[in-house]
Amino acid sequence: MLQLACPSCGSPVVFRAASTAYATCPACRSLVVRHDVNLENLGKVADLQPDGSPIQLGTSGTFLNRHFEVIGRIQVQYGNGFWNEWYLQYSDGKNGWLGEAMGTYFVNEELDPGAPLMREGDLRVGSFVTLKNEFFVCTEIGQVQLSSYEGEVPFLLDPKNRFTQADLRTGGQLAATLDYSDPRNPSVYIGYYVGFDDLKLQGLRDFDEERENQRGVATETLKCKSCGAPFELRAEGISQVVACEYCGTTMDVQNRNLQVIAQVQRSEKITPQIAIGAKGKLDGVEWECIGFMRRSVMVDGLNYPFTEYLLYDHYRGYAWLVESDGHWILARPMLMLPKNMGSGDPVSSPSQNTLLYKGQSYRHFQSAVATVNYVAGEFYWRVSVGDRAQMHDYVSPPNMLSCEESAGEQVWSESRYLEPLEVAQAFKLPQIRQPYKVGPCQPNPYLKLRNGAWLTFAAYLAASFILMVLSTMMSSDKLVFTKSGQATSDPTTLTLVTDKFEIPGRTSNVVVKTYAGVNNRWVYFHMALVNDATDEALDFGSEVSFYSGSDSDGAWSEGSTTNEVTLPRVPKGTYYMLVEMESGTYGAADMKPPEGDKPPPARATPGPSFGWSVSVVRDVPTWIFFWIGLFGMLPVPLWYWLRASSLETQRWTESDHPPTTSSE
Amino acid sequence: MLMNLYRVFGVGLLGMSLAFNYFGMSLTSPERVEGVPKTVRQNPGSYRSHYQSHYVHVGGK
Repeated sequence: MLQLACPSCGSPVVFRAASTAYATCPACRSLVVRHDVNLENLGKVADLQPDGSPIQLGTSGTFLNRHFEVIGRIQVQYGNGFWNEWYLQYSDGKNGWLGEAMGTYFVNEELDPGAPLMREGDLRVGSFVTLKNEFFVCTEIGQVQLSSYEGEVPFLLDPKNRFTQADLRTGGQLAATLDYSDPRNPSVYIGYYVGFDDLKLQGLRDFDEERENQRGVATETLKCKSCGAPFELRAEGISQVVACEYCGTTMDVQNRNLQVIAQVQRSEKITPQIAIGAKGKLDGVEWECIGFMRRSVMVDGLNYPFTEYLLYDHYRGYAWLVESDGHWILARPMLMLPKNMGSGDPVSSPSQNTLLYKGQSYRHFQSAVATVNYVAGEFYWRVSVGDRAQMHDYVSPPNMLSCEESAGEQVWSESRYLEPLEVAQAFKLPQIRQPYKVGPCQPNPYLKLRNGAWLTFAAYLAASFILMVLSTMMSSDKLVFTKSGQATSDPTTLTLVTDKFEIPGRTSNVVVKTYAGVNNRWVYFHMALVNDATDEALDFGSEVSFYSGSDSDGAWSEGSTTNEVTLPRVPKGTYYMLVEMESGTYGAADMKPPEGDKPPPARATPGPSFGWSVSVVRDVPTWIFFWIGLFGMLPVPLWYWLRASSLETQRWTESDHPPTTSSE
Repeated sequence: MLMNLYRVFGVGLLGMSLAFNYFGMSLTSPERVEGVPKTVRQNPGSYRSHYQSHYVHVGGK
């Protein structure tokens, strides 16, 4: 560190970095250049413009485990105000830059591109630029100009020179800036966009203390140039315009002249649900509502209005709280571009493709032109009623990506769905509008239930199947009795009582299998399984019928020569069976019941003789309860599937991709 | 909560189907008749089945 006396006022001027040749005197704001241990006075530099930056000389932080200290800055003016390039001295002796504006932080350093860069005139928003074998997309091109210096800087800029700068983004946090201050020899600064909390900054400005120190100091009251209503600037140095809450007049607040930009004839004064100046904590940040805007999109001749609240925090910049049909989202600027799902390249131009961002896929929801209908409060760009912007929304509930396109830039933001209650609690709203319809990124509560229900169903299916297989393997399936014979053709009724037989084991089911070797004939077995000890009978019947033939379509057959009847809960014991057979033939017209009538009793008709048998099997495995269980379990996942699908249908009906019906 | 109820229902259903299988339950319920005469073995016609009146399918084209 080198400390030298200012040649203008004698105050100490400190050089912390060996590489810096220029510095400003903190006392008299003279710009000095170092010649070994002598300083040359280059004249006074312009005053720094209030820009609301939380960083100051001496602020320290950490990036990629490297400690740094802020030792200087270049303040640059661009279309939307000012941004700062803070000059960093790292603990390893190297230097770098921290670009900072409106809560975005870009840690960067100069890069030797190694190859000629794209010429200024060839660069467009959406152009691809390759640097360090990485694809970059140009997201913004603008004219910039030096505003002022502070502390140590490694070079000087011509304050009269307006030159082009372009922002390049990637699908990651890697980004770059092309600097055409020397159009023939442009510079590249490459680095990473990082979140405020990632830098672990210390020694920041204390805005509360500054506000406290200003208390009691007489300050000029700002009043609307049109109606005289007083207002307060909450993001001084950053806000470009303020729209009077009462009359709608939009004034330039870049300087204190409050030049009127636009006067509008309001048909009504809208009272926002969240008042300007209200504070609320969302995502761990205490935001202050500084602006309110109503916009609308026109789709198929219908107007869809939505309300946007501009939230501000000195350290984290801006966020948008957007309300539409009672649904709320909190939108923040994106640090990196989404990627195209297929190619994996960063998105150069919004399309209807599905996008990939932070490992999640986002489906295109809607593209529309939004028009500003109403503004009140402060804004960081020169907004006015009637402004239009092309918007593209992509959803992955509960998150959403949005891109607003204008001629000079693409602005991407990521949003999170907020429950209305969360908003009401954050901003202490006594009541809040209840949502209706389905929000674009409203979470579908039935999806989780549906997935859970299907998972449970699958688990049930697997467990049930395994248990049924085990149960089948453990069933004895034992033949305990069989009887066969030959039935004579006429008469067609046979009655017999079988020998006694034992049914052993525990109480189980019994399956009585019947067979009759018939063709084009039916046989009906009237049967009773009689317990010899208790004289209790299970009375049942079993039909066997089989028909076959051939016609113009070829051979056909119908029915079966076997049948079986399951008898439940038959205890062990000695049994015999009563069997009575009837038989009839195909072609007996009176056998067919008149339509809608009760069937007539069957009548036996003579026919050829046939073989028959009756078998009794105990403890036969049955899968009927397996199927009944499955059908019993099915309604719940089906219900949630229907509810989830219904909600998704409602959601996408409002999009550019409405679900199609089979008639379409 | 609802999902837990559904899981409990599934476990119950599984238990029931296993129990029904084990105890030989069936969906059919044949007529239980008490006091079948002992003489039926000598005179089969003394007992008439409850299924005496029935409908049979008469198929064919």
